[in-house]
Amino acid sequence: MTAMGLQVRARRILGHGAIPVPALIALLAVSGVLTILNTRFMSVTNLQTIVDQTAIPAVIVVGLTFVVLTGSIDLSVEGVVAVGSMVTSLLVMNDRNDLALGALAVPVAVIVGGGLGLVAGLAVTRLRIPSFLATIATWYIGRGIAELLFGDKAKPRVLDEGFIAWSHPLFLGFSGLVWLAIVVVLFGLLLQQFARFGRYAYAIGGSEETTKLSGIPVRRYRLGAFIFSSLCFALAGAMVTARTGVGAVAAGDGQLFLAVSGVVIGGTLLIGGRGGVLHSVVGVLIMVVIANGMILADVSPYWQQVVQGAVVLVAVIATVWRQRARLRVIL
Amino acid sequence: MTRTTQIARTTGAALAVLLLVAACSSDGGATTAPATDAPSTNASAPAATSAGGSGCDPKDIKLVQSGRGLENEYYVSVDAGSKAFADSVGLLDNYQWIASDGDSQKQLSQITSILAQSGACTVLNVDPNESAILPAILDAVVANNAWLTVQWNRPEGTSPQETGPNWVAFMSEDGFVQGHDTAKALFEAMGGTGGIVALQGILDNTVAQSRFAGLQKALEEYPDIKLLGDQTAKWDRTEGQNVMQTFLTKFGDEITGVWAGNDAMGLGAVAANEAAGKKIPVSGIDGLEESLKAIAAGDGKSGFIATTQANAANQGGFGLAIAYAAATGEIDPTTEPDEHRAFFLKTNIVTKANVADIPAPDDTSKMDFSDIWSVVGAAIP
Repeated sequence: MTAMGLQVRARRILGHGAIPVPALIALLAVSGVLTILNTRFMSVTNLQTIVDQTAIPAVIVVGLTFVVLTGSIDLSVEGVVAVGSMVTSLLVMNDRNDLALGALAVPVAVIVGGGLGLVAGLAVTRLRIPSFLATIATWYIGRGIAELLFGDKAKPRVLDEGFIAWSHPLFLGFSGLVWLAIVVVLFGLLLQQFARFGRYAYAIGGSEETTKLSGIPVRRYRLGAFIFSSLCFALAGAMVTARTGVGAVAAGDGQLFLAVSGVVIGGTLLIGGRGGVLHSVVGVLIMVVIANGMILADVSPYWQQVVQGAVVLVAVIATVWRQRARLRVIL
Repeated sequence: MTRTTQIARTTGAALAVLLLVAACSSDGGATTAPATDAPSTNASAPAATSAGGSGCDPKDIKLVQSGRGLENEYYVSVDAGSKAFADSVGLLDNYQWIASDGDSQKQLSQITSILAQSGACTVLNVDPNESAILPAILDAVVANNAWLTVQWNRPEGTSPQETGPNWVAFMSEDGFVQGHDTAKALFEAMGGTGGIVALQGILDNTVAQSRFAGLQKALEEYPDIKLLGDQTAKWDRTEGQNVMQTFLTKFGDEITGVWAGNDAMGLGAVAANEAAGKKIPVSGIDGLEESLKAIAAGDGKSGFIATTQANAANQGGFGLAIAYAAATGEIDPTTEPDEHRAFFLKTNIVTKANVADIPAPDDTSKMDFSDIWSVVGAAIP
């Protein structure tokens, strides 16, 4: 292949946005500044810390990305994470009951969470309820289910040491949870690049009418996106339980903001059709890096949120500048 | 658009609203009193006759506990303490827990609904969702000549003494003493020397501020202990774990102790330390059941080593007991001394040495309501 051919090829890949170039540049810029402020930022242990803290939100955004690609939004994150956390903690060996399903608890929790996605997806596709409304409803339903499971006792504690060990270093200094997250991200990338599910998600987000006219069962793929995102959220809930050692209704608190800003910063358009899994993961990474770096840089905790908000704003402006005409549609 | 899709859309929208409503009211809250049952006078209220207010027949008294929601361990223990008191006076059937779910307007409307039903013989123990809602609650309570104890929050410049008998008492925890005494327990476990990091609560929260001020006082008393860094972990366990991880990369082995503004953040820090293979002591505040177990299981030198004994059950039980005493005429609030009207609860520090004697937060079997002032620590200035 000629150099010219390579160049064309490279431009095609970058131009099509398969690689989140602006987000990566932002990540490098932020990392650069933080390294100047404290060289320990780039130390091996700190990079491990950052990866560890990114694992759970990364799993969340893998699911969320597909819904956003189709032009919808899934706000049920915190409710479904709560369900995933509570169900898992009550099914592995714990101090509330005699059940001890071990690792089997996770698929059960994930399936229960997927049920919430099914409800939201049917509401959106069959009843034509706006996705933000349907998923706010399933958010509250999820929270309600988690509260019912919580009952009126202390937080259920996980006694299954093997389950907790998922949060301890496993290989190359990364925990089992990190490796699990990497598997989920790779799976998301495969779905996005090679499966109909992913390709059609782009098509639906790009133009639902055209996709429908070309004979693609749009509703079925939309429904699939909501189910898949809930599966990811519930898995994240199980991971929170492994990491903290307890089941909690508040397990997902703060994750919605982190996930949505991660998706947006990464460059996935909220109106759908552009972006991808990798974009969102890099977006989440930026958020985690900023939070971590500001502690290392001794930024006063009083100023951290201001800085965080400002950086998010700048990153958003930088990444969506070219699309601002299109974005105006949803303002 | 065809007629069918139109119908489908309308049904869909209606369903979504229903789902939302169902989800929002799934707490089994007490907002059942229809507006028509709430006349402006208390005609339906039993025994609402005495002008002075005191002297309700105990069997006519309605006991009400209002807080956020039972998904929170703290309120589970508050509820347990309240029930223990209700049981001790044989009024368990007259006891009601109402959940505000963090919504101030909901809390106010729940309280006014109940006041409309049971009037002057209503005994309320309220944890105001925010201090700004208290004046409206007070107005309703005073108008109905009911009896109220307030927990935690009150607006600047308001007090039971100035409001009159109906606001019987205000109680809170002494964050300064909690922060100071847990810090001392931590420093002793460290042998009086070393470096610590601090995990603070939400920064604009007065409890977080006073607990941190207590830590700073203790640091002055132990000059060989150095505060390496302090950050907010927003009262949250996962956040505590994340911030601790970052502290470990920042300061490494310089950290020989961790002070946390509450148990949740402390337990998060313990998890971070364990994952990193660090054996350092961590102190918390709140006395969660899990912390008590961790202290009992530990060696007193590393892991979770100190917290405060939970006062939640006391706040529930004694909060009701004090207002109940005023409702029955047993006490006249206006003649009680200042330390009975607005006070800090006693602070007990839990360490390895005494953890065996500390009951679980929701264990009310040892509660004794014969002296309603037994939990008073000091007057709030």
